[in-house]
Amino acid sequence: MNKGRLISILLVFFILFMAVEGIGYFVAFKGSPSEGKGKMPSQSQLKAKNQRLIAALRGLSPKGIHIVVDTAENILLLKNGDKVIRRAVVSSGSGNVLEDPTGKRVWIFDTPRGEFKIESKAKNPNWIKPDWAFIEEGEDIPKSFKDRVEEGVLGDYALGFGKGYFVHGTLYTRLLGRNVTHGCVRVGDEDLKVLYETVPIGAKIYLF
Amino acid sequence: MKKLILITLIIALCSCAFAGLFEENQFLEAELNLAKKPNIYFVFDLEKKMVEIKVRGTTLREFPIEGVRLWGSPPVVSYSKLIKKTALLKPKRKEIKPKKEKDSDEEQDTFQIEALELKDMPSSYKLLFDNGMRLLVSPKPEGFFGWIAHALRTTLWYVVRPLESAINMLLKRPFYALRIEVSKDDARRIYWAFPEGNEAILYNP
Repeated sequence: MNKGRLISILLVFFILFMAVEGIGYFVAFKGSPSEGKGKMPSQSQLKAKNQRLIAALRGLSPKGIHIVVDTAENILLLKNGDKVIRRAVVSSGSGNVLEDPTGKRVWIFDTPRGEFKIESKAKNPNWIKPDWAFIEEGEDIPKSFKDRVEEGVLGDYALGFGKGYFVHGTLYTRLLGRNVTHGCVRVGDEDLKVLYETVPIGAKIYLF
Repeated sequence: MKKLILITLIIALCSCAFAGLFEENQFLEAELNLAKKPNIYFVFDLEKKMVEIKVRGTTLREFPIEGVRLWGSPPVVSYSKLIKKTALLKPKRKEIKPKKEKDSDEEQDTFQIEALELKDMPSSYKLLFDNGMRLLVSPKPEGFFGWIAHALRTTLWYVVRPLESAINMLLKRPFYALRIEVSKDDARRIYWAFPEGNEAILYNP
């Protein structure tokens, strides 16, 4: 191929590329989409409507005792309305994956996100080991319920927030602040005692 | 003449106030829709220059936006669901290998944490929403290599966005893009806290 022909081809490609770019610019900035084609309310109507919406949003916001957990920073806030009562360093989900050797089940150890509520509270709780705990340890899954019960690993108290997830204590306090759990929120002994004594069943817990 | 100027000024101020109220109304309506659900949602508020993590109308955490670049004409309020997060170095979940036998005490002493943590999250990534919005999050440039990366991203922005606009026009799909700069740590926190499937509001008054 001679030099002149190569330059011509490159030039054609360049012109085509620039044409497409030009169309892209035109499409992106040709104008704002039309808004509000219906009948417009008056200024006073809008003001009143906005006030109602703000009040409705305030009505939804968490009130009373509730818990907020930041799983990225591993920080738990015990709040009463807007006021922070206690701040605790916690451990939350590792995000690791475990596959059942049969290939039928997969567990992802994330701490769930969103709004939940405290469904149960227990003193000196026992851990009812789920299947994944046995698989992870390379053990056979027991047939009897009593073989699943393990004492003393969840600390002095546990607050359940549904689907088998708990805020509970830990033997591994040096790991507080790290993402090491199977989805539960581990808390240090003193903070856990305060949580148990302060948070009623039905209180909301927000995890993000 | 003075009267005419005064009347024009009053009309202009009234229409500005009305437009502001109308935009606020759209935003509040959108937020109330999200706040009724028990899910975490995000607000990208370009007026306050803030990214907010919210639930039930309450801000759980907020991150200041250090820089904004817009492509196309996004509506004042856009309400959408995150469908995909893409990054050059996407964090990979670690797979747990079941133990063959019980660890000895010695092995437990040398225990290494294998987990996805905040430090593993990318600080430069793209969020794709179901209404066609592309939201690029990048760290505020710091140091020589930071500025080089920033220059490359800016160049790519002006080369790739027109192509995407043209392609989406042909496919008759809506398209607009937004690039925000936040601190490196905040970029990681946003990536962590924003799972696919969650919803967000872009407020661009």
